[in-house]
Amino acid sequence: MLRQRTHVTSRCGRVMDRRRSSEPRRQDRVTVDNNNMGLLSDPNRRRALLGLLTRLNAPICVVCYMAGVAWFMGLAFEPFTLRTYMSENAMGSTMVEERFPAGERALATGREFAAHKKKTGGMPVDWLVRTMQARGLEVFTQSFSRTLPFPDENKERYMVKGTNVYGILRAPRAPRTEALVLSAPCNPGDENNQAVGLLLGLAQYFRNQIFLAKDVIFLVNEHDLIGMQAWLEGYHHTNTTGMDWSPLQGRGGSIQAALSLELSSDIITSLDLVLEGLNGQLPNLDLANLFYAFCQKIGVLCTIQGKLQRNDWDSVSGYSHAVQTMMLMVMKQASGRPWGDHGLFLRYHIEAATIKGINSFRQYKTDATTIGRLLEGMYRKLNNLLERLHQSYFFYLMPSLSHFVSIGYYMPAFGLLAVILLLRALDLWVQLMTPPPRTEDGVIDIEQSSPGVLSVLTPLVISHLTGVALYMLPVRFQEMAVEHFPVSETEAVVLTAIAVYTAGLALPHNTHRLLAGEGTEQGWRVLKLVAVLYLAVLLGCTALINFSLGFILALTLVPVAAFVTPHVPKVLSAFILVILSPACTLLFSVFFFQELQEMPVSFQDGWVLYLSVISQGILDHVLYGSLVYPLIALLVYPCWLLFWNILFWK
Amino acid sequence: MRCKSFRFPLESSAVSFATLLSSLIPDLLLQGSYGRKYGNFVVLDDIFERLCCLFSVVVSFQLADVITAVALYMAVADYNKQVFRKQKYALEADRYPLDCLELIRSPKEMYYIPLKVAMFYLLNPFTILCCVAKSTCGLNNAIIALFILTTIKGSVLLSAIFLSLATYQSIYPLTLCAPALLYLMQRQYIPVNFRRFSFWWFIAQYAFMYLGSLFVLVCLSFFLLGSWDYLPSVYGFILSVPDLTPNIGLFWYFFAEMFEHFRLFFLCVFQINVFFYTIPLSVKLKYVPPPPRSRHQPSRPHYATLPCVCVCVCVCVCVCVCVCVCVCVCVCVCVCVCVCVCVCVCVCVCVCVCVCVCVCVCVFYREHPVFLIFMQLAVISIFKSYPTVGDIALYMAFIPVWNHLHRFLRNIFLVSCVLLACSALFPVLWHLWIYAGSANSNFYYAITLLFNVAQILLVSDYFYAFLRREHHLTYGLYLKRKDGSEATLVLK
Repeated sequence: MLRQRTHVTSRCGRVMDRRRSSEPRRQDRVTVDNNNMGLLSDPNRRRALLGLLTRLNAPICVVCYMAGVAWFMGLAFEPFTLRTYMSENAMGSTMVEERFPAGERALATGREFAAHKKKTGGMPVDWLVRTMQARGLEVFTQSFSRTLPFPDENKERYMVKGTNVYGILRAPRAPRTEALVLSAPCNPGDENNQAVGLLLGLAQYFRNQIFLAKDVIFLVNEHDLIGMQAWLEGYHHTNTTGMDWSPLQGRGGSIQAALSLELSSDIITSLDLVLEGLNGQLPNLDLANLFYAFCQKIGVLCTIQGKLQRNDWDSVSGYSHAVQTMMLMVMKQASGRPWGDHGLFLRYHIEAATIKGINSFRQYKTDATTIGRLLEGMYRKLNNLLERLHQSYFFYLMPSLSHFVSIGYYMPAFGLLAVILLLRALDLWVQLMTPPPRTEDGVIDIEQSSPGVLSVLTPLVISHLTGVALYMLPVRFQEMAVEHFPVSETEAVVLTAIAVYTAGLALPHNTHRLLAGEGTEQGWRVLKLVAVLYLAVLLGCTALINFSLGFILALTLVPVAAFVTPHVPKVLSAFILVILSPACTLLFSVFFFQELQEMPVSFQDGWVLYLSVISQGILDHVLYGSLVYPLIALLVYPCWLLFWNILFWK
Repeated sequence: MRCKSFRFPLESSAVSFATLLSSLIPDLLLQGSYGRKYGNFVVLDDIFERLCCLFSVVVSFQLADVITAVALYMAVADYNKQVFRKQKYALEADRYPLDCLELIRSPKEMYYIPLKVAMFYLLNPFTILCCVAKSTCGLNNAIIALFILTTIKGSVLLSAIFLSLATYQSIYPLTLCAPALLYLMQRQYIPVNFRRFSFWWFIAQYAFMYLGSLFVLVCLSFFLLGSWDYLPSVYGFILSVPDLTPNIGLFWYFFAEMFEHFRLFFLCVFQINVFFYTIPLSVKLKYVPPPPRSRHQPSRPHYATLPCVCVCVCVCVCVCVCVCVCVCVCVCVCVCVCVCVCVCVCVCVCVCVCVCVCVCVCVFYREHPVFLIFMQLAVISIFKSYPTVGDIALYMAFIPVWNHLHRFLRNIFLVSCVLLACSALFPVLWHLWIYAGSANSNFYYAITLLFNVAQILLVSDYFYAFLRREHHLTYGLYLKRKDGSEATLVLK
């Protein structure tokens, strides 16, 4: 016992040689192996690790960056992905026989709808109400109005007024506590008539079936997403965006799933599935699986991002095809816009997707009856659900409709990029912590060692104020801009945004004017440490909510954060910094997106597109509460300005 | 930040006084501030409805925060004065080794500490969140701060009264009576010796005052309500954790996942965590004065206090790393998350209990009651059943007091990064889970776990640094080996 105790004491009070001389360490005590110690508490190992990390910091960062990009590109390679499979038991094994017969009649209804639409010059509300009532639905209407902050030039609307018409088919077999939604937008012109026709046809068919255990709500919404927003807010008694709508007169149960249908021709060649919703939110993967399973069963060509899947994954072209599909998904998700009318459902925990009929020059044709059967099958399976779809993934990327990449596989790609920031932060911390060399008389230069709070706080505050200006000014000052410059409102908003953004680049000079003294060596290190940690947290949070956006931002901002110091060549670095700034990232993304869609544009058109994308971003934020614009303006841009500030540190 | 007080019923400003009273009487709304009413407290709220209107203008949560800050300011100013005086005596008595002059604290650097403490409390985002949420945690903090102030000022009666008030709100501040006793005895030069009559007499006095005021409070609330029902619905609510609404603590997930028949056992294990630290303080420890040493011939260092620290830190670190790894794996793979996390927590908690015992028995806290208060507050805020961010703000306010320990802190960068990241990730994951519906509770709990691990690391780091500084003050800053070469301290 006594011996043991002395042993313990010696083990604890072990004194080790600190010198790194060549002579072997004299170990006069029992060496205790310390496997359970960890690196955190052993000073020697810590020192070794720290030394390694600081010495090899730059190479490790480069390797991490390469690895992150390579990992991401590898995600599209088929052997690295998983096959999709149905996780939900309630939808998995049951056999459904689809018997929807009335495709032709649905198309006829669609034509009738088109005629009435043309006659009324908008949504034929009365006709729709009558038709739905004739099919035995409880029909209600909801009117809404909304004035946009500035005219939407893409869709040519400013003061929006419209009516939603919806009919509820009450479930004959169960208490009416749950509901499914099938919606079709009523678009101006000749679009989407067939979708409304098919919707009405399905309503008539479902009316005569006894199997329904959930209410089915058939919704025809006007002014696409604005109408959908009004309807959803009315249904859930919320008002987040300040839109005027009349309260709903009738409701079904809580909505479990929703499909939005877009169909503009009598005969289609393939069906496209759109998943990306508001803020990059995706529906449960089981919904995509369901669609894919039925397409396989019924024999309809199905695509995602408009791309058919190919079997030759081992060839270069097959791989690049998969990369293209996945990149399209990443770009769409990163934009944070709803890419179909389903996009707003996701906010309310409702799994939703848009199904688009595409008519191209393929041989293989599908008629409306088949699409009706497909939808019938999907609704019957959804009808079997016992609880909300939750078994499968919510975070995924799809290189093809039959394969997916889950969060566990794609997060490391982001993690590898984020590690760079942490490594740089660690490096800076070590630099800041190493005591400055003592002068002869032993006095440490105090000014060197302690940078004032002011020198760090000033850039932080000023860059955030610039961010706030970027967020507030464009919409606020449109009238003034229109008065003084020969531009339209939309142009005024976009150009003000660009002007504020550019004006922010003059920031370092203003900051320095406010500062009392000269910036010190330590000062920029502290500022950079703050900025790097800030960026790391910011990107981490973004990547959790919207992986694609986080990854794209990380791809451009991490190199900036890693290399920028006041000592690099100014002009070249400033150029690189501007090229990698969020606005330029957006510009490149626009061109890249067009490339991916195989619709390359000239620079002129690209620029126009870029401007419209900015205005759409602002509109999406105001209308639907998309978070991308405030995120960029209030957080990412100020963060980038901090690095800009460090480059011009004096 | 998801502190559960966010769903505090904010129907009218009148509520605030009702809250004040109901928190002074029972700590109802702090624990159950989701608008659920237990037992008679619906009635209670009604009774005070009118009083509310009168006082709501005067009493507000900002005021509570300001009181806390002022109390902390005065307390720390007084404490610093004492520390400085003690240091001066020690210097005059030549008790410090020569090479420790670097460790001596100068009045210049101590001058701003009280102000820093107050600012740390008032400007802490956690405090602001707590205040915005109108959580009664702010009131709780104010009372604890007043307790600290009165203790440091040496007023036995007020200290006992405030301690009983704090205990009355939530049981956990009970553990603060040990440091208070030690401090007051130290101040009145009463030796901590079980054989002395004066020691027992002082304890009896303090216990009488404490229990007496607690008794008065309990009886008052009985007369106010006319029944004892509030006891189970307040203290039972704290101790038996029936409400598993997610918060930043460790309890909810674990108890939601657990089989019902293990509940009592784990309840004890979890709750014991808070109280265990104080036990050894009631155990008589043999005081070993530092051995006399000549300054010119450095003797072989003694490491009287280090074994326990070693064990504590090692185990803590290992556990934390293990938990971290598990958490990461869990989050990444998303497979068997529940099982992993449960196992992790289980191991973590059990080991922590052992560590606590070990630490407390071995470590000689007696000399530093104020540091003990800091440690206790941290332990309470980590292990209490319904923690809020306000609790964290209170103990974090003390961090500037220990800024002389910064040179000995080892993991402060890592820990502060983790704390920062977690604080940002809390709302994000909460949003993903509750509003977006795409993530689930495992994501959120993983961050909770990480946050608490970081807190444990922070506290143990400070603990280690404190002991290390004390050690250096006794044995010299630059340790030499027998043969005269330079040496490093290695924890093994």
